[in-house]
Amino acid sequence: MRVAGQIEVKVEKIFIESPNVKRFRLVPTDEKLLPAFTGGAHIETTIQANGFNYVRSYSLTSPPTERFYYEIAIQLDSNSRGGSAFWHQQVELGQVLNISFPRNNFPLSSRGRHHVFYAAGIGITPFLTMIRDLRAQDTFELHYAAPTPNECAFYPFLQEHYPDQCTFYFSKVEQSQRMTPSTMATHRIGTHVYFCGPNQMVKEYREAATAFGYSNEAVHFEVFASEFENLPKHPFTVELAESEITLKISEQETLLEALLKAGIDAPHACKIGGCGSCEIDVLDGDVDHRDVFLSDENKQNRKSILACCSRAKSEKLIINI
Amino acid sequence: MPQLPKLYDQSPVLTEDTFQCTGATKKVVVFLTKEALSLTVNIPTKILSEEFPLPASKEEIRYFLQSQRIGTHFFIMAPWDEASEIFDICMEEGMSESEIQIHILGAKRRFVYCMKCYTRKEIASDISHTQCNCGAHLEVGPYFSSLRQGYIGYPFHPSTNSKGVDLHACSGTN
Amino acid sequence: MFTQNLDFKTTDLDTFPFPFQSGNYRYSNDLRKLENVNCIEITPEYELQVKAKRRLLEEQPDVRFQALPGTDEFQWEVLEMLIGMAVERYPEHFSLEKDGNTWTFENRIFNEKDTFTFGDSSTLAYAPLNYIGRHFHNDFVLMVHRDNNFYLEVGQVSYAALFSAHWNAGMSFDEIHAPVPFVSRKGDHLVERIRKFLLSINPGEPWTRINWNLMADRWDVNYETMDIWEPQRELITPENAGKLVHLRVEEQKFYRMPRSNAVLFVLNTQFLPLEDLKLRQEWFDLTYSVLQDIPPAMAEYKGIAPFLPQSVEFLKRESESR
Repeated sequence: MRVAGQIEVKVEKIFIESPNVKRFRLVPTDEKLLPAFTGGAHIETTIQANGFNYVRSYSLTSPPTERFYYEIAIQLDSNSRGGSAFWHQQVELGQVLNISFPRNNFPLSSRGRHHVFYAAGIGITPFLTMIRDLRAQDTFELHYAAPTPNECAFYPFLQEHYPDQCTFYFSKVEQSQRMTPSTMATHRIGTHVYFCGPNQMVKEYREAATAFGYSNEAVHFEVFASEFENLPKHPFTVELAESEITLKISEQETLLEALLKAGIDAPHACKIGGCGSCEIDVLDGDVDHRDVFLSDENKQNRKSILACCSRAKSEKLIINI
Repeated sequence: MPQLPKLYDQSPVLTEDTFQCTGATKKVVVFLTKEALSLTVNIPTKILSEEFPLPASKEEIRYFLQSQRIGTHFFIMAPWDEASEIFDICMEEGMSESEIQIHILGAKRRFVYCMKCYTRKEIASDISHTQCNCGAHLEVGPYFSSLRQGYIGYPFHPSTNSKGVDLHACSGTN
Repeated sequence: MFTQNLDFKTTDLDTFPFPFQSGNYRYSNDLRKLENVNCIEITPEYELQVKAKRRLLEEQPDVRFQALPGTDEFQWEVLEMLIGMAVERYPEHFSLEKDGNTWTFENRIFNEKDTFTFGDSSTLAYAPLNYIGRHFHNDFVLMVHRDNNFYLEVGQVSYAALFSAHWNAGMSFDEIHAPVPFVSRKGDHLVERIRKFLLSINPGEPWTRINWNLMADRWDVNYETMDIWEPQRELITPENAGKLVHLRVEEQKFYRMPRSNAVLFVLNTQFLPLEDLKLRQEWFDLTYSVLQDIPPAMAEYKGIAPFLPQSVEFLKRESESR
């Protein structure tokens, strides 16, 4: 059984899910079994081409216990840094690439009895595997927003398999419907809610959930990319109180990257400011928060920084690591 | 399957006073026995409240819980055994401890789990040492197990146990 | 509960995971990426340790093995991994034949051959992890990641100190480590830091760290037999410390299992009596230096305070006699 490292795979099939979503089937080149995974998991893909290293993470959409192949669904994104364009326009059958083992920053809750998923656009992908992994005694609902049925990835599949649990909201049809957080107010006790979509949508739903009385543990979310990617990066200095060293962080690197390079065992997971694993206490200095994990209130009152993406407003920070 | 929390004498859901609303409280359901009827529960008037009289069967309680919406918090005023049972059903129905407060009528119950014979023994709240029915002498540790439903009872030999050894401080993992 | 006089120690010093790098012990994470991913190791003590473990499991199944309901699939995943590792590293000792889902696993050291249907626990004599774990001297603990914490849902533990599979079953990582009071120099709780770190471990990227302790004569120091081993600590003198006090090292390896999303703890526990430290001068010097320096609070929490001074005195006399 595979235990560590990367897995080399090749593209065996390509399916058109919708005008701008393609689904890719990946099979291992050594023909050994792939690891099974848990609902909500993703893989980090690495393709070397055109002199670039395209490193992108995508949610798995194939059944979690399927070990002969994996599938991922990628949306062609106009704001893309090049990754999705590459996959759509240049990846063909037979393309070889490396993938990580499946990782999960968006698992189902074991405590919830009723699970409600809110998906916007390509945010649907992690829910496909989470639905399959639900316990028999739990129930679920899926609320899914897309422009039209034609532009709604996996619409026929969902209609066929989960007609009673799915509600679709099409914004660009004649009788358009907007998906709003208001449905969260009427779910039963023991409900956990899950959001996946653009940062703005996730933020809106998180705030609404809190207002409706959901405890923090009952709210789960995953963001796909950081809206802060294009903000200017300034260099800054960071003093590590515990390790007793000082590092200079350049514009090219994140605080996390610098810490790891200096041999500090800084915890981390998603690397896009979504999970909080890399949170470090800040003893002095002004943080430039670029994550979506900490709430606005936390960002004001709690003195900490998410090392993977946030930076400094002041010239220097003193952090507790 | 996850191990769900159990009610125990130091549970964070226990309260000596009346119900405390938080920002997340939209409605309060008060489970109460006849004895509790005379006690006042100060729930702000702007918050919806409802009474659920006890006793009731487990099925009735479960069915009722499943019909309640998020934002509903529960205040249980009952004797220990009844309150424990309702707490169990709440946990099974997916609630978190932050949504429940319990005011026990009468005494709280406390148990020590003997690490020699693996059975529970009920003890008074101020007991720190006891002897199990199997004969083992036990020092009651401060750690509670939801699976075993008791505090750990460290076995010691009364004649050879040295003073000044803090059994509570012992752990092999670091 | 039976007591046992088990007298074994590491004879091949290259297989002993000596814990000290510097002469000054400090609380730190000391987690490192695992270089050799294969955790199966056959030391000269393999048969002795495995036999002792199997005897404990036979005599006290409830004490040493616990599995919560619903963990079958997780256990099979671990079984698949461990068999694969054993066969890969020691093809002379272990083999696996597959005929579809019918697997035959052979352990030639113990001359055992078992055929079972992969995934069907009714075709095994024991629960999957309880079955495969009996072929190796390690302890195995599966901490299942649920709702931002870890829960001990499967454990086969014969050697871990001040621990009990029976007691700790079902507990969260925090609950298990409730007895650990330690904060780092700047005030963070060590347990919190380690838990967060474990949460971030990914499948395909195993980690390792070393935990050490001292044992006074008896190697089985679980909660169930506390009344027996606890007083024994008082019987240590500088004269008998060399023989009776062992450096007990627990090498921990952490694997995030992809299907269960659990972290598998593989524990390799080895013992070395203080008198054998002189076989490697560097080990002697480092151990002497570290033990002299242990703060009282750490000695208390490790349970070694009653015999630490005698042990240090023994080492002092040894070093003076050179």
